[in-house]
Amino acid sequence: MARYIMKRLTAAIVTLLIIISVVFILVRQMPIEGYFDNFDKLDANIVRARLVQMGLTDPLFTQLKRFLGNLARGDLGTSARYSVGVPIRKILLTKIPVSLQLGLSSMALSLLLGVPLGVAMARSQTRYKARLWDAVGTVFIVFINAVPAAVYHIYLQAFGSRALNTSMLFSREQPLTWVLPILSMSLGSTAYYAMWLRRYMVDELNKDYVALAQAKGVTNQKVLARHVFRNAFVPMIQYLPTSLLYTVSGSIYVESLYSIPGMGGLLVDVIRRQDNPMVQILVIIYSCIGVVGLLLGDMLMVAIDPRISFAKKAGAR
Amino acid sequence: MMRGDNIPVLSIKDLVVRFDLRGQSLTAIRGASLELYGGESLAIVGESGSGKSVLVKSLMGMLDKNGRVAGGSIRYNGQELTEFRTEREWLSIRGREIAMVMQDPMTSLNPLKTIGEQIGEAISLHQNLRGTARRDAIHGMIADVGISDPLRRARQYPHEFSGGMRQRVVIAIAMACKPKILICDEPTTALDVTIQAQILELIKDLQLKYKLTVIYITHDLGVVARVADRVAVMYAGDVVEQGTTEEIFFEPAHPYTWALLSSLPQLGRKGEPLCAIEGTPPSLFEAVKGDAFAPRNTRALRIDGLYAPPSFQITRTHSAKTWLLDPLAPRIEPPEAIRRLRG
Amino acid sequence: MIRLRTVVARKLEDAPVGTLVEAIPPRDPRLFEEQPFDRSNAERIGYSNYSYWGSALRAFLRRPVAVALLCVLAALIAFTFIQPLLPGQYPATLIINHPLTKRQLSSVPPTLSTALAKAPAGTPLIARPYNDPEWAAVTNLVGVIQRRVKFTVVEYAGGWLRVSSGGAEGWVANDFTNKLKLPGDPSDVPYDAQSNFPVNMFLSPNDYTNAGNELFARRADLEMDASGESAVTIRETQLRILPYQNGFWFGTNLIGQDLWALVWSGTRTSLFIGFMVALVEAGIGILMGIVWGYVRRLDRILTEIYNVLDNIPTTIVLILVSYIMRPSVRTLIFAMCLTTWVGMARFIRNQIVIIRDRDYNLASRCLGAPLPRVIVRNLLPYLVSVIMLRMALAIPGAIGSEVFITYIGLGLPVSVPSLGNLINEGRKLLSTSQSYQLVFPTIVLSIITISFYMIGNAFADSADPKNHR
Repeated sequence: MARYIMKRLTAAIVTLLIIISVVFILVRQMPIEGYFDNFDKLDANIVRARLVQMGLTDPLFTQLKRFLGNLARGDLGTSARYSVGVPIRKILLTKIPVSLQLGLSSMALSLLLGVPLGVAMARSQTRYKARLWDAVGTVFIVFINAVPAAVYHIYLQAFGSRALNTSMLFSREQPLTWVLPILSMSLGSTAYYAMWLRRYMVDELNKDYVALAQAKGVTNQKVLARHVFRNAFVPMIQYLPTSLLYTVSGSIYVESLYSIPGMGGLLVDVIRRQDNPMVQILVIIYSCIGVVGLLLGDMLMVAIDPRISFAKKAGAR
Repeated sequence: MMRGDNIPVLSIKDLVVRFDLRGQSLTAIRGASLELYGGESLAIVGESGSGKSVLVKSLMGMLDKNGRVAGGSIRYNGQELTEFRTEREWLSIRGREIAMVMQDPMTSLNPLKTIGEQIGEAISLHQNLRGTARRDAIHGMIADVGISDPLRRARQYPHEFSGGMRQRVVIAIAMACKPKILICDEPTTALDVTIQAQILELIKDLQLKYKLTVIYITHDLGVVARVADRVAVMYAGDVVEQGTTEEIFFEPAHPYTWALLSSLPQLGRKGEPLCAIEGTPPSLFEAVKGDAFAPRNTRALRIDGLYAPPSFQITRTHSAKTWLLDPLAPRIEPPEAIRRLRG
Repeated sequence: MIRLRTVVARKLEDAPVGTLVEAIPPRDPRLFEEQPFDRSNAERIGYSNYSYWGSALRAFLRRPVAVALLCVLAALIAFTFIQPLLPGQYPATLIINHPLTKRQLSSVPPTLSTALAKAPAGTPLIARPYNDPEWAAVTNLVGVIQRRVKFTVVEYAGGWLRVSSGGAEGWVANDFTNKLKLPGDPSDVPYDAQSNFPVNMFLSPNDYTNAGNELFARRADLEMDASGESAVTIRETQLRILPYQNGFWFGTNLIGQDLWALVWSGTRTSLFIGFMVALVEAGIGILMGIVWGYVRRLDRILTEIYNVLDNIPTTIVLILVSYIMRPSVRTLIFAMCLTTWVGMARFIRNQIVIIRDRDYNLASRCLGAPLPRVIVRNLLPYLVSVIMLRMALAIPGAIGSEVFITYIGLGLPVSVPSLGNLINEGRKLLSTSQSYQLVFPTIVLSIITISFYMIGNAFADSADPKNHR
């Protein structure tokens, strides 16, 4: 088991290094305007001097080595256009708490909505008729999955703010303006949790051990709670760390739409401002979150599911 | 374990079970009648799809959600089980009176709970034990089904057990309910041949120890010969013949039973082709006209295609649903292989 | 010893089936004769005529919603191609200016037709200079009587008054009682009057203008006088707001482009992106999957590549690639396919590994079925269902990504109509009276994405033999 974790950890670190290098090299291919806040007014000589000063004329490999070294020391560089000369780390530190607050709330909300919905849908599968919840849930899931999030968020913002009688934009001081962004962010994962929980639970429901538990004389209610739900939730636990980590980065679209001063909104801002160093760092952070999330998810599964360490040892990939 | 004149503990009469399948109605049990006597071992045999499993599931109210009892009666202990509607009513039967051992031990245990927890669940429900008493009961149960080192084993997960061991655990769970009737649904099909005999022995031992009535569901006639006192042969959702094991093996009366026995490879002779039953069972989506086996019966009578045969009592213990037993029917001898079995 | 137990015909609550409810047979010895064995009878319900594709099709047809959506989608896709060929369509990127004022026709609300009024034959009109072989700009507005300017009412005709003012004569509408100083009995003409507001004076008792602006009529319907300054209708004539036959069915956008044409053009772009992404993803995925599965030496390296690519959020790849490359349809397709093919490749690879290992395939090969036959009969049905599902879901995914990437500002240039561009433009107007500029693209987009999603899932379900009867 320790060996499996070590292997998985090494693989994650290698993946991270590859991602960072590729992103770094790709961003170096961008036009150099992205490193100056007033490129048009600058003299060619000054531009060259500044490029040399920033080390952007060095061989790519030297630059990469320096960049990785800086990252390892926790130096993320400075912003070039978004807020000139400010260390990126400082900018991020003001953004992360906002995203984290909203993200955690939305994650809690989506678990709170999605899990009961998934259970209700699976439960209505156990009955012959009265599949109301399944129908309601299916419509919801199809809608959320099929209609691009970029579209329904717009409508939710417009109609929601009218219904709640609040501003369309986020403001930290007004609690009511928190409602819509949190709801928006949670819709996708609510549908996700409901869909997968339903699917896993229906899979479990058809397994023999459920019949055996019933034959023991356990009530249907308890079979669902103690056996089916528990077992169906285990595969979902794998994705919880990823969801949790993404709350740090926030939803790119929602944050931008509501002008929330968080990480996601920041990414859109720096892209529109063509701030190369910041785009680079943010893209790297988002990719790392994906890798780390999956890694943590796998670790969590090893800890929770007694079968996994066994199966892995038995030689599955 | 002859039954004498005792009253059956469980009696199924003209049971009809239907399933709604994608807008169509499938009649899985077509008026089957069967009795179960205290302390006996009854084997229900028949090919896949003949309704064996559905029959026993209807005894526990565990039909799939699209299935229902559409007619007939199941009487147990003075209760009419077909009138049970709520889960509460069924809970007085499930586990408490009738327990079940499922076919595939690899899937019938919850992979995420320890063996101890799973046995304990049944013990808490039916023996009302708590704390150390419960723990001792769990360990006792594990030991009872022949698993050594119960203290350690109770903390292990199903994947740490072999197939045969898991089946012992499943039996332990069923026995932990302290049932009066144990249904074993193909208990050995998924196991190695070497393990099969051990499991059957275990069930037999437990039957003696706890004065159980056991229903075996199987298509393995070898198992039947080994464990059963009485045999019921099912075909296309109906019990076509029932009798003591000796009667079924040596005096079979129904052409389907003949065919079933003839297809035993052991009865074949070197050089002769193996006997197989031609054709396929009838579609249960449609009403069956006459004797369900008639289309596959090489020596069917004209009436077989027109009228369903009633049950003819051959001896006190032996009955069969075939027109061959009608006084008007011609004398048709069982096939060669059956006579060989007899001789 | 043998005792016949009579079967009593009992009425059960349920329909009669076989054994239970049959009448007692007549005691006729002929019934007990042996019958010849009919082999075909024995096989009656054998599943020998099972055909996978036929069953899949039948299972699909049993889903009315999916079938309906498939029809809607097919019609919609067909229409996007037919639309430019229809008569009277505006080119999608054409900025429509008002022919006389030369201002952009921005945010014209949805109108079915440009027709405003019908003038009967013989209506006198004033022609305005407008150089077009087909259309003439006309009005019957003679002029405006300024406020507090005296004029004489010469005829009273209920709703309209014929007046003369400063040498000109014409009709003014009599719907402004408070504006006119009228004598006690207004029909007692002539009398002098004046208004507190400017009043439009028309050539005939009708308002053939669009809020004071010119209307357009076909030259063929008019008889111009020599000077070209006045005209008379020679037959009943449709007067139009604009010199076009069709209205703006979806209105116009902020810069005066026809939204109807834009939506269909945008749909074409978005569908093209969607289909290309689905095809490229499937193509590369299947190809790489086969290589991955067959060339065992490459298994390790490809697995590692998969692990890396699978870990990166696709949104981020999309953003990064679009950030680095110039925005274009090709960039978008490239960015969307860059990492998503690994999923398909992995699936194909796993299937190929299964070909080698799974029992029924082993069985088929042992029975002497050649490999291609094993692939076609055993593998293809399953493969096709999953490939089709993935492709069907890739299309709405790609369309959604395009909307998203356009929002961020990395999408297609505004000169290329796409649903993303339209939605991004319309987004700002949702809370205004011009919300139709968002609503129409949204409706078309939602129909497409929901249809693909539902059809894809329905297809995958029907391709699953478990759902076959």
